[in-house]
Amino acid sequence: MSALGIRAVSKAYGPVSVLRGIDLDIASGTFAAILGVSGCGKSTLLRLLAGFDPIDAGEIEIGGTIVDDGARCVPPNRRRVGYVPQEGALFPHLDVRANIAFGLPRSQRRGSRVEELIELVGLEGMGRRRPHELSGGQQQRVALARALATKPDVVLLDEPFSALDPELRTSMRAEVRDTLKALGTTALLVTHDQDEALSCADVVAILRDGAISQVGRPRELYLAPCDVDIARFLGEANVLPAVLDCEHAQTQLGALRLRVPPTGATPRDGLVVLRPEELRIAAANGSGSSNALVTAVEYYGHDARVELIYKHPGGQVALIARTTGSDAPQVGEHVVCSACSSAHAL
Amino acid sequence: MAAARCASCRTWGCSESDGTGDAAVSAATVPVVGRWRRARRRGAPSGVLIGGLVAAALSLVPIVFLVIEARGVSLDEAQRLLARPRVADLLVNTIGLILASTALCAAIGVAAAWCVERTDIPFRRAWMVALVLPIAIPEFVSSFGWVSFFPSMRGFWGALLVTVVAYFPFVFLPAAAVLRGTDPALEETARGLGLNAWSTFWRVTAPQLRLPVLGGGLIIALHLLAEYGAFAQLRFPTFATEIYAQYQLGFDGAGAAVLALVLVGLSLLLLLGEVVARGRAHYARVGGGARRARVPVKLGRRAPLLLAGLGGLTVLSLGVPLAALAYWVSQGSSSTLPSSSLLGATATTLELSLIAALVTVMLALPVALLGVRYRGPLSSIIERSTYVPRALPGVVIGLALVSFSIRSAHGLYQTTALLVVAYTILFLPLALIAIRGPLAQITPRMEDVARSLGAGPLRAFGRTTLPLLRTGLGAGAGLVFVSTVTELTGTLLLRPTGTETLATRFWTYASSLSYGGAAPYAAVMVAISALPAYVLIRRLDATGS
Repeated sequence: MSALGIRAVSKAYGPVSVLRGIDLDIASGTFAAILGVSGCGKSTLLRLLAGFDPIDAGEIEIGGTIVDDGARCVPPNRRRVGYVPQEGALFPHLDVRANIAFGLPRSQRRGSRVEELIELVGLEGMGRRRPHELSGGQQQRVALARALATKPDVVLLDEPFSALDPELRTSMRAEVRDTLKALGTTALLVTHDQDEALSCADVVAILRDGAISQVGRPRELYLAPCDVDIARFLGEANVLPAVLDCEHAQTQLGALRLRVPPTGATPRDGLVVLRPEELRIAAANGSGSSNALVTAVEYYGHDARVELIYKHPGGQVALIARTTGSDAPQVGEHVVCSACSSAHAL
Repeated sequence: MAAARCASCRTWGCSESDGTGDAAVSAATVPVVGRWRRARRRGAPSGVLIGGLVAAALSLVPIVFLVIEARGVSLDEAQRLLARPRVADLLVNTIGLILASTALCAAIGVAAAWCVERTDIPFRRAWMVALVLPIAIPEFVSSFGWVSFFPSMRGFWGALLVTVVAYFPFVFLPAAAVLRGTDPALEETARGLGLNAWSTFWRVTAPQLRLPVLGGGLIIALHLLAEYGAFAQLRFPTFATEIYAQYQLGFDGAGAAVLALVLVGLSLLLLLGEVVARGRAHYARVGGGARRARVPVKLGRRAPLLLAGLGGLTVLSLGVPLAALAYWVSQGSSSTLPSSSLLGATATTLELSLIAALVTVMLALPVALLGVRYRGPLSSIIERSTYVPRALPGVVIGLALVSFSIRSAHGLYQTTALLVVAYTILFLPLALIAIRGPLAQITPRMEDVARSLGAGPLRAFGRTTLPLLRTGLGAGAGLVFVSTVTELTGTLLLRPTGTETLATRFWTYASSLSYGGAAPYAAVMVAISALPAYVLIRRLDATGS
């Protein structure tokens, strides 16, 4: 049963087409993320779901009810959708308690529900504080509690962590995810941050140029992207030309096993993707045994990013590899480089 | 949670991935909720639009009826009217005074601001209050003070003295704010590049003062064009006094309208000139970092000189008018005691001003909303229309509304309603300036959030934007209120028979040279006007501290 259904949704502002036929169904209780670069239309999609703007064509269904069919739409106050905007947008004239109670009927604003929510987001004792007296993370927690107060069918999160500093961002992500999971609330997070989408969502949809280009679980997307652009968008990738046969790819690194056998006629020309951590680097025993030259090393402590020139019988190719910090080679060192995992064919 | 795509309902994250084909969700099986709205394009709500259109229409009424009235004059007649040597005299008087007074105000305002903000002059804060306070004294009250003490003070030089000491705070205030707000590092860098103090001022500080001086100068010039009361007392004829006289003498609406059009033309030239002079000037502070405290210029032996200068200025701008008021109030109380009519006029004035403030702010709010939240061709036409009255002095708006009520709405002639309409038109730009800035700082996202939490459009506005806008609305209402209290010309032309405000009472007594009778009314007006001056000082305190 889907909590949120988006079918063939299109939206244009004047002559500018922002969204072109978006299709996405999110099951109840799922934490989903929409990932895209800025300007791809992801915030627009969220505004359409919340009901701030009407759609041009298509259909939106929330909690089993159609709320917009391109001709008529249910106003935002009747959609049962929670909205957590960027930087919280707390009401500056109200204290924490009044912010959280904003959407509750008058009779419940003084009741135990507000205390419950304050406790849920871990802000006990701060009910009387004003938004400007809170840290960025605390403001986000209030914004979340405010959105959850009315028990919405779906919570929409519009880059809620982008204003926080990196360390806080990581902990807030986990915290928000755990809270939503504990309540079983369906959530849709919009973000431009790959780490954020991959680390906290059950399902990630990639939005590109106003259309969804791939949907899947985080590891599916990372390990089996549809095309080169998605592969590169989700992280660094070595993309190599290859001849694909039934189960293997013949590449400059030799024959690699394929994770998923290619469909269609084989053998044929194609591309394979190898993530940097799927390459292994070993010290060469003698000068004759090395096949790669290290050209640059970025050392991060826990790991290191290594750029190499790999020599093969037909010439040479630049590769990126990732090793543990302790195994990091020196610049100018001759090493042996090989694939340590099966590859993904595009 | 199985986050795979369900085979049956094609839903991401569905746990019933082995469900039967019947579970497919299609539009047909989904109940449609009852309360639908026709999908509306993004645009202003109709209430806001109607409010804005009313404000724009009101703002354009005076100029339209001025033109209609002037069309009653044949071309020959208009030529005869305008080619008189009298008109040439008026032009010379008006333009000459504007040039001289604005230039002197700019020089004195900047110099005073520099003394207070940049030097170690003693009693800094007291000087600041003294230099802002003249704003609280209406021009016709300060000219009353001068004329009542020095009856021979007439003509150009008298007008120049009175207007300069009354108007220099319009330059002093913004100049002081800029001098306080700029980063000391700018001037230190200039000194580090080898400039001496004097060239640092001209090459670094002065360019930053251009905007406040231009803005203040424009306000002064528009005031000079519009002022009637002060120049009538000083027997210095300008366009405003002549238009009023023309109208009073023979109810010659057409002749007055032709002169009024010249006056409107002059105001428009001023507004245009300021836009051109301002150009694309924009001084931003580049880069971050905390600002350091400024080291004030040590005055040393020069201190007494500057103290004498500021003291003299204060005596001229505050001392003489206030002393005159105090003297005549004490004289008046012994001879004529107008206590009951003073109370009556105060009550009428407060009532009218309160109504005018409320109506004006209520009309300014939709215009500000259109300008800030719903940009578009119609919005900008509406917004610009409401700025047209900035070029229309009170005497012109009064005259045009007389013409309007006689021609098109006879029932309105000499009613309180029409008087309030005049105040609204006159002070709408003032209220707009006060509301627009604060409104622009309130993100519309607040209302989005309120909507998603279940509030309808009106409730969402009432529970988020409106409370956040309280300060701006209050400031706008306060400005309109005080301006209405001291409004003279429009009130004289439009008030219903028998309605007496503080300003009209004062004017009746002052015109018949009954200084003792006039002074109490002036004193009450000054007391009411001191309030916004206090607010301005507080605001200046808040900048850069």
